[in-house]
Amino acid sequence: MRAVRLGALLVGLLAPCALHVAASRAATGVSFRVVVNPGNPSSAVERRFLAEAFLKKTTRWADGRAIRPVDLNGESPVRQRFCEDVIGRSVVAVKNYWQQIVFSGRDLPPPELDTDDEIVRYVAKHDGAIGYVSGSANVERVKIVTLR
Amino acid sequence: MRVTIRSKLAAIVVAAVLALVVLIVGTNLIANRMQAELETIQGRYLPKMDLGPRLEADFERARRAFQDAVGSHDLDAVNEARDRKGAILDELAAARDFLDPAQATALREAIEGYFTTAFDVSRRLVGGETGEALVGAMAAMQAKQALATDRLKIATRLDRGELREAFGTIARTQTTVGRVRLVLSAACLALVISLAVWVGSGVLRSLGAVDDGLRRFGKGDFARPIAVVSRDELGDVAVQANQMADSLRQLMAERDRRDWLKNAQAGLVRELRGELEPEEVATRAVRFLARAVEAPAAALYTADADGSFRLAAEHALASAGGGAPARFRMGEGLVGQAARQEDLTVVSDVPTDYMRVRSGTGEGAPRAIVLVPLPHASRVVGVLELAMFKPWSEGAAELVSSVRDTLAIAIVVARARAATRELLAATQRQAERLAAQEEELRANNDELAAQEEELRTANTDLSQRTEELEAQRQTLAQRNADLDEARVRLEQRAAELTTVSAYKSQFLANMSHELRTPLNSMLLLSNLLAENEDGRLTPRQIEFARTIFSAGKDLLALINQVLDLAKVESGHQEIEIGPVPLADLAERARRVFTPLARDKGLAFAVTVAAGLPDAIPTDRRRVEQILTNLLGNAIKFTTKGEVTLRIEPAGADARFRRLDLEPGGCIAFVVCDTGLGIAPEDFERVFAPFEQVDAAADRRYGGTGLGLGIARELTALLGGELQLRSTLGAGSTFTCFLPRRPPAQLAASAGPAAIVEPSGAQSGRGRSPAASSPKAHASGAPTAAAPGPGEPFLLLIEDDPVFAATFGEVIEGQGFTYLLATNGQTGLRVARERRPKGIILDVRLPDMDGWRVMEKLRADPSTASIPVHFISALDASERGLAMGAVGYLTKPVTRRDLVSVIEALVPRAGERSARFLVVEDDAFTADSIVRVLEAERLETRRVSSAEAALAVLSRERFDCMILDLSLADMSGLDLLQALREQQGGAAPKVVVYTARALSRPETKALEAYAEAIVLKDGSSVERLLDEVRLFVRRFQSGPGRDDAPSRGLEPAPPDVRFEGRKVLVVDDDMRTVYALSATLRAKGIEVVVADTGKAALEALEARSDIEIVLMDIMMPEMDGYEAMRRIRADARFGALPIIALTAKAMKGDAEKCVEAGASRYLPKPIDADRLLALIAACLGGAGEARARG
Repeated sequence: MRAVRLGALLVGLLAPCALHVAASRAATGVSFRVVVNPGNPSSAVERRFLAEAFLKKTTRWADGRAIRPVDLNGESPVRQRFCEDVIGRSVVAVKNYWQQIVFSGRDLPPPELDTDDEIVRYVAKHDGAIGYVSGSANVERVKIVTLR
Repeated sequence: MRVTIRSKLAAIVVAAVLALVVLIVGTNLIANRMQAELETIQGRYLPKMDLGPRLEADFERARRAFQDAVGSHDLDAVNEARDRKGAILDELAAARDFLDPAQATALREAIEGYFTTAFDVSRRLVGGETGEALVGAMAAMQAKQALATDRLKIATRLDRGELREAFGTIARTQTTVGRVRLVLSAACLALVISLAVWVGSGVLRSLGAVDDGLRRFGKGDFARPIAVVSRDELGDVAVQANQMADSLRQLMAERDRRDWLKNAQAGLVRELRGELEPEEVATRAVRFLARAVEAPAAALYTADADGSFRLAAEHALASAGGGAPARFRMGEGLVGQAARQEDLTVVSDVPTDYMRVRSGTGEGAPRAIVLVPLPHASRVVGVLELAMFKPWSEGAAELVSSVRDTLAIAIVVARARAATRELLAATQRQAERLAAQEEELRANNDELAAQEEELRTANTDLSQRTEELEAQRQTLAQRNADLDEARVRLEQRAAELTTVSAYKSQFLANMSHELRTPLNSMLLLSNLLAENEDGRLTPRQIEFARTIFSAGKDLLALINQVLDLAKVESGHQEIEIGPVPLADLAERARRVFTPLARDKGLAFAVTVAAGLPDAIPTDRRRVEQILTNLLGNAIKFTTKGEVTLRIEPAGADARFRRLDLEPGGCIAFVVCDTGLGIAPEDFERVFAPFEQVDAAADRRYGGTGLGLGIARELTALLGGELQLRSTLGAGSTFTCFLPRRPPAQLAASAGPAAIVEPSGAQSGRGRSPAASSPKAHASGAPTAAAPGPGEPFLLLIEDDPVFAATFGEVIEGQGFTYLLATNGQTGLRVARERRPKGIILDVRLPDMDGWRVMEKLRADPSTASIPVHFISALDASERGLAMGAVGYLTKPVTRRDLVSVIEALVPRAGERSARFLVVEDDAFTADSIVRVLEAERLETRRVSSAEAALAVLSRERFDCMILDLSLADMSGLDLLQALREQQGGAAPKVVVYTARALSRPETKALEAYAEAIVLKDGSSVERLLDEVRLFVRRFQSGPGRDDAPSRGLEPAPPDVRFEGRKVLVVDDDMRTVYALSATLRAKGIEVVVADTGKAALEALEARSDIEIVLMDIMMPEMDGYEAMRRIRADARFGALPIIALTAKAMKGDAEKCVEAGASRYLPKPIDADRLLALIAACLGGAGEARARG
């Protein structure tokens, strides 16, 4: 609970400074922005770090906090975009990866949420969380980080 | 108690078996316990160990099934995955026996839990559910999975303590087994060993005793028996051995007794050996036996004739005192009694006073007296008495019995011997008387021997004589054998000589050909040099060149001569048999040799005896050659006096070496001279090649010495014989006998097929054999009526003014004008400037010889076409004709000859149509031919017989004769031969028109004379006409051009330009090639060279503009024959002129060349002018052929 509050506070403080991350592929018409809990000190992440975080290969932020990734629903074009752009695989491939991990009992996939708002809410709520939303989403309560 | 070894051994075996059984049973019991322990472990722990991994694998497969089902979004697959649970639980239930029930139950619950949650999660995942709830479910599923895995591990884990206990039990059991086995084994072993030691020691002891005893027995010690130490089998052995020892001991005693007996017997026999007197026998016997039986005293009585027994010998009896009575009668006393009994009598317990035996140390009575009678052939011959100190033993008795017979026999034999000796003495006395009588007989015998000796002497004489006769006979036989051998050797030597001679000749022939080739180059080049066409040589150099040339020519002449001889000797020479008029021979000899003889100041006469046939069948050329050689020789070696040639019948007294000759069948050509003469011992040498009688003569007269050799060989070839008679200093006579009819083998070989030497062209001799000697002509100035310009005239090149004037008369008599040139230079100049219609040329001219003039004439195109006729005292017609002259006349000549010379020259100069003579006996055919010819506007004359033809031909001149071969009076061939005889080169051309099928030899013979042969058939008239037209065209286009009767006469046709013509020279000898090329190039001819037949073919293939081929025959790789055949095989070269060149001027070469396709044939060494003339003829012909084509 404390973490949530702190996140909210941070969001409040940093919101004006939040940077819009425009989708690199304007041509497809779909763009995403990466958001983190407002309590997160990072303002930019590397693409590789992001991919490993969402595949739970890297589980800790630089400051030792656990990374809590959250995905959009599998049918979301934004997720599709994110997967291809950041992870470099299709959504189906990512899902298959996770099934393997799940059924072999090694780990669990990030939770999947249906809307940008839910993502924002989830990120704002959980300390160390990271997610992504469509370019047009309302991200007042979370912190947007740039991709390097 | 008796215990056998067998039972002891059995006891050992039984004990060992019992021990083994105990060992096995004990060990087995313990092993069974161990087995039970192991089975427990197997049944309880192994399945448990198996089950863990199997269940894990099943569980993992189920897990993957869920995963795959979700991956494929297949609900059915999810259900299937759930159904796997049943299989796992079943397996678990099956393993209930060895699992802990509580653990199994817990495991079962965990698995069921997992499947439930996994099924739920999977369904939800397939259903596409997302969100945190699902993630929670997944976490639950993973927890259940972990729980199931853990419990599975726990359930299937092995209880270590339990396991250790089980293995400990086994290990303990193992140790127990080991110990028991050890104890049992040791006990058994001890038992068996003690038993073995017990049994073994007893056996060894017994064996030792037996061994000891046997060893003793072996050494012959039978005294002590073997001790019996045990009552077993070995004891038995000892007893048996002892018995055996006893037997052996008895046997040995027996053997000793016998030995003693045998020794005694043998000793007695030894003692009695030899020719002994009866007393001596008795003494020795008594002494020996007394010693043998150890009797101190003994005596032997022998039976006398009266039956009483007399003391024959005694042993130590004298010492017995009183001595023995000397005599007993039968039955008297013990001795007489014993003799009657014929048996041994032993008297024991002799009274002490009965008899005493005394020695130096004492005396005693014998214990026993033994009396032994000696019987022989049922009669007792003696009695032996023995006095014994010892009792009479068995052995002594046996000995005495056994020697009784021996002793008796010895006594009888000794007595018999004594009797024999007496008889012998009597016999000797008688023998002495006999010897006296024998002496008388011998005296008689001597007389007889003397008589026999006389007889023998007589006999010896007789046999000696016989031997001498035999020796003579053998000598004769030996001599006969020697003779035979010598004859065989001679035959062999003769055969060898023939072979060697043939080799030599062959070698010479080959060598000459080899010499010709380089000589050819020399001649050609030196000639070329001497011509000095470039004008660069000084007269002196030209003279040198000429000298080289003429030396070469001389050398060539020499080689030709050598070759000639070689040919004759090697049998290569062919001869042509034909009728040869004797008058011709005489005339020719006269003509040729008269001037020569006159030059030397000799008289020369030729006589032909009467009663000879007009002609004899033989080879004219050969006979001429023989005569030339003989006459030349005669003139050469005669310095004064005369030389004569007589032709006469052989004298009746002529003797021949040849068996087939007889005086009546021969004609003798006798050449006599008054020259040096030849010593009889040199007769043979003069005929040997290369020898002259006197080496000095060789220097003086020169020459090779071949002439006579050749003459003799040729004579032999013609079936005749050449003989020589001569006296040294008084001249020689050579007589050549020739048969009137040729020998059979010559007649057979002489036929139309006879081969004509290409170089031996017949000379254009004068045709009037009966001509008288040359007429003398009025002398006169050699004025020549100068012919006007353009007027036809003859040029006479002659330095003899008398002859020139004579000839001039004849020329003018024939209606021609002439110019006279007295030397060659002038002649040449006139010929060039005035173009005469014909030239009469002398060979001997003051500035240059006629040959040279001829060469120059031929070399200059403006004069090359002028016909030339030679007239010379030199007989060199062949050379002249070879240079292209129309004729050659040898001085001296007749007026008729001169007319024919002019006729030979002039008709060719006039413009007129050709005249034809048709010789045909079938009037119809003759008519048709004449009609055809007249339609061609040709002058024609027709006759129907050969006789008529000859008559007409001798009167008139014809250019061509059309001849039927089958005439009534003479065969066509004979007519042609006669014509050739009559007219030589001036004879008309001949076209044979015949219905006869011609054989090959006939065709060949005809080709020598005839221009063409046309067979009569349907279209033959047209063919004949073609030939006639061809002839006429040639005749009109250049009279004299085709004056080439296939004999090598090749006058150069005019107007043939050599410049730029192309000739292919094929020869492997580079000298020849060079010489030919130089000659040809000097004329502006372009020369292409090929060094083999193959190269020639290639050259022809490469260059289509070659107009003529000069083909050598002897070449490597492909010879000329083959090359020509191949060229002819190509249709393009069918008409290409080919001139064959060869140094191999042997018989048949020309024919072979022509067969192979040569157009012409030229023997080496090559005469440049002749070659050029041939080339010109060929080129002209070719050009014409092209023009016609």
